[in-house]
Amino acid sequence: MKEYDSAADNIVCSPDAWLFSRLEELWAELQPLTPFGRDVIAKRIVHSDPGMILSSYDDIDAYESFIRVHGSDKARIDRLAWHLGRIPRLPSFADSDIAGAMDAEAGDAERGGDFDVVELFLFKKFLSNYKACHDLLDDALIERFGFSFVSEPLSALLEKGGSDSETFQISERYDGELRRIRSDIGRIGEELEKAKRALAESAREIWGLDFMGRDFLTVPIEKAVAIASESDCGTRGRIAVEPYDDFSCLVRILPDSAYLALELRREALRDEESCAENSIASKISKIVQRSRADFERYMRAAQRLDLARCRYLLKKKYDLCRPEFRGKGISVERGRYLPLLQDCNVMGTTYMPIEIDLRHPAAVLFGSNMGGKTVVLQSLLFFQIMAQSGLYVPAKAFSSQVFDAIEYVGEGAGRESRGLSSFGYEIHFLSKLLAIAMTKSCFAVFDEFAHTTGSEEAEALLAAVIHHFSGMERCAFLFATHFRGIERHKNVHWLKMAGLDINAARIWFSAGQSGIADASGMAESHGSSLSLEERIRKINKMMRYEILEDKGGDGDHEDRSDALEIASLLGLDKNIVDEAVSNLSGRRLTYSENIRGRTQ
Amino acid sequence: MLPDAVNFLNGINLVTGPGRACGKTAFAQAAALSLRNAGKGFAMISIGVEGNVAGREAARSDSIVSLARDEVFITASGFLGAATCLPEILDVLPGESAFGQLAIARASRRGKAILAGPERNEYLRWAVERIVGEGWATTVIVDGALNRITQAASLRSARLFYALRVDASNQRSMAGKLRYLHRLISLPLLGDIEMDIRIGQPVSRIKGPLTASLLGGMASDVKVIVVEDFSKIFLDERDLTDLMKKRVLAVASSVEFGGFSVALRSVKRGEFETLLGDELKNLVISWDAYKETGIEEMGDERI
Repeated sequence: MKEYDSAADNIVCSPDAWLFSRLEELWAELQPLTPFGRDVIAKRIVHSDPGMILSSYDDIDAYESFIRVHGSDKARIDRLAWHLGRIPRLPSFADSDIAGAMDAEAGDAERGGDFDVVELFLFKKFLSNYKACHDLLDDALIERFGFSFVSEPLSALLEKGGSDSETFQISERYDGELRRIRSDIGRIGEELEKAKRALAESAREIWGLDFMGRDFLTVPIEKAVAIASESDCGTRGRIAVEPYDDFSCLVRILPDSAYLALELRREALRDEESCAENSIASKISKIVQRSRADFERYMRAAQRLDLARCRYLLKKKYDLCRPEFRGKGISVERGRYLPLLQDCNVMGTTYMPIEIDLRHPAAVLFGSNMGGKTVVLQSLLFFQIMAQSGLYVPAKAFSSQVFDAIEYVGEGAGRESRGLSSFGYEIHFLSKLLAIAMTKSCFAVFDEFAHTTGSEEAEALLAAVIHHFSGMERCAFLFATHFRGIERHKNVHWLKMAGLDINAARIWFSAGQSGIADASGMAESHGSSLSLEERIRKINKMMRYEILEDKGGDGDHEDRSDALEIASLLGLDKNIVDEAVSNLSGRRLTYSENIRGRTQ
Repeated sequence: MLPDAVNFLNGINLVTGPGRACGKTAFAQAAALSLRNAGKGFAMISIGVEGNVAGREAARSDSIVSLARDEVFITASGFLGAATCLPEILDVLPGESAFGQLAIARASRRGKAILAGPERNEYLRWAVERIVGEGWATTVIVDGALNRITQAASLRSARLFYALRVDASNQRSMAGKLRYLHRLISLPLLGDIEMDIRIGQPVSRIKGPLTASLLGGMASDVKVIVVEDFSKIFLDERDLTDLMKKRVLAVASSVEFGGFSVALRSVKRGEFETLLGDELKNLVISWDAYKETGIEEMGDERI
């Protein structure tokens, strides 16, 4: 991820917001097939330009329409993915130009901007697969993604080099002179092979040496000495001998003059061949260079198709919906926060979709410990970042606005701000955010802002901040907090999580005390040794993850946070919980009595 | 003499050895020659350039191979100009080498080329899968990195060959190396001993390398240790012996072992065979691949 700089125009989402949203877990499922698609996904771009975002949605829709029409032809869809996956990254044209300039300075103007054989191979492979994709698309997609193909002549030229549609070499089909040179090299090669076989045959007949294609052999010293003494005369098979170890020498066949003459002739021809190949490569390179604009267009088209495909696959897998952008506010209908949904599936707990409609610039969310406040913040960030990344969103409906900056303030944020306490960082960041919000539309979530300072001052500060933000019409700020003494202003949503189902908790605790099985058939008391996972499942069953309007203390036990109940459910010693309840109420009530008292 | 081509046919053959000049490249080239003499096609891959030694000088020696038409190899774009075998580029590997992009190529005529292969296991695997998957070759010879039997595990269904050069000064230590490797490749497969493990008997499954320090921290009641494969064992011979005295060491998956290649220098084959013993000497598939045919030694007797 890029280093975050909120002043930079091109970075919309802070790394803290990205991490807190847990979008990374879903991001790994985006699997583009081309290097260009992978480049985009790796950058984790969050757009602030509505045009870019809507274009991405339209691309997904266009690909979906294509699948609707042609999806039954599975071979066609598979082939499209196969060819898309074989499109290679192209050599850099710019580098070639620089190389060309350097070559020109060196006096080799002819070589300027040439590609080597491997690079030409990449252009051929690119064109071959790009064209195959083009041929598999329908007119609507070709038009939508600009997936046209106008490089038939270049394609045909590259087609000549290599034995199939992808492989490449500087073939003799490019040039008659190269054909002649290679034919001569081939002929001399055959003569050399013949001569080599004759020399090997001679070595076998005279010395009993069977090289079997090996360049050298080791033979016993006595034999080597005999060979050396006779071979020196040059009248019989010429063998070079050199010492190897205590028992043997190394022998190799020496070429005769006829063989050497052929080798020299072949070397000269290879030089000619190399010149001819360079000349052809240079000509092809110039044609490729002239097609630069086409290649750049092809890369963009392949990238768009690739991204639309992988975004569509994500949409299909998770039944995502197309976000709508309206002037202001955020509204989610049956939103599914996928990372948590998956956690719930693993833990066997129930996930409750999110319903929320924020029209004011500021919103405050109260709620129980473990009641889901933080999850609401994460969910909204998750949906918003997905939407601004050009992805559809896991909800029945999601409407929002496009923000210039997306931020998170809470635990774990501002890791880079060394030397500042949590509170110090929050204040530092708040000042920064206020400055950004003067000129840009911001979406920021605050998880337990100022929770590390005294409650009275924290409430006063929080109330002032919320009041200030409530006037920023282009922004959306959401605060999750335990501080309930905040002065209430207009233009702010006051919300709460529904929290612990106190009746369910009562039944469970009563069952625990009396040993009667609860609704789920478990007869454990709240002090018994349940595992943490079992306790979390229990809390999850009793918790109502529902966002309600908070009417400010006029409802049923509005100001409770269920902290003691949750502590008890998590297995804290019963005596401590009872004493805490007693401290709270000012009289020595048992925990169970307290629960009963609250629910009656 | 040359190793029999049957040892290498239709498979991924990884050649490794215990250090520089251990004879692995000579053995890999002997295997290639044997296949060529049998009329069988193959692909030849090296790791890096001449056993990881970079530099153009190094590239001029062992990395140069003779190739016949249709034989497949991996080279670097910077070496293509020097290839006389008229390479046809089949694909390009991810990443770059010091000598340019690495490419899978096929010789269009008899000639020479400089081998330059991927140094990262994942790229090696990618290249091998491309070569076999595309049907460019069914037999692949990988002139592997030194002391890197881990490559065998990273290449699916690879056969491992271990080459070593023995001289008068190192014959005992080399025999020890073969014995050690033999113990590793002979470790039982978990699937084969599962029935023998008593219910409730603590079994430790090690993900990643098994080292002496890991072993030291292991509870004493663990009597069965299972590693992913033998290449994950990083214990010296003494630690391995101690471990196998007290506990059962098994592997979750096996790596096929192809055999040893031994090149002798100033050592009689019989002497070294005595050091190896019967079981080990039978695993040697190549004694002196470049020795003149017909004068093979059997003990001290010459045929």
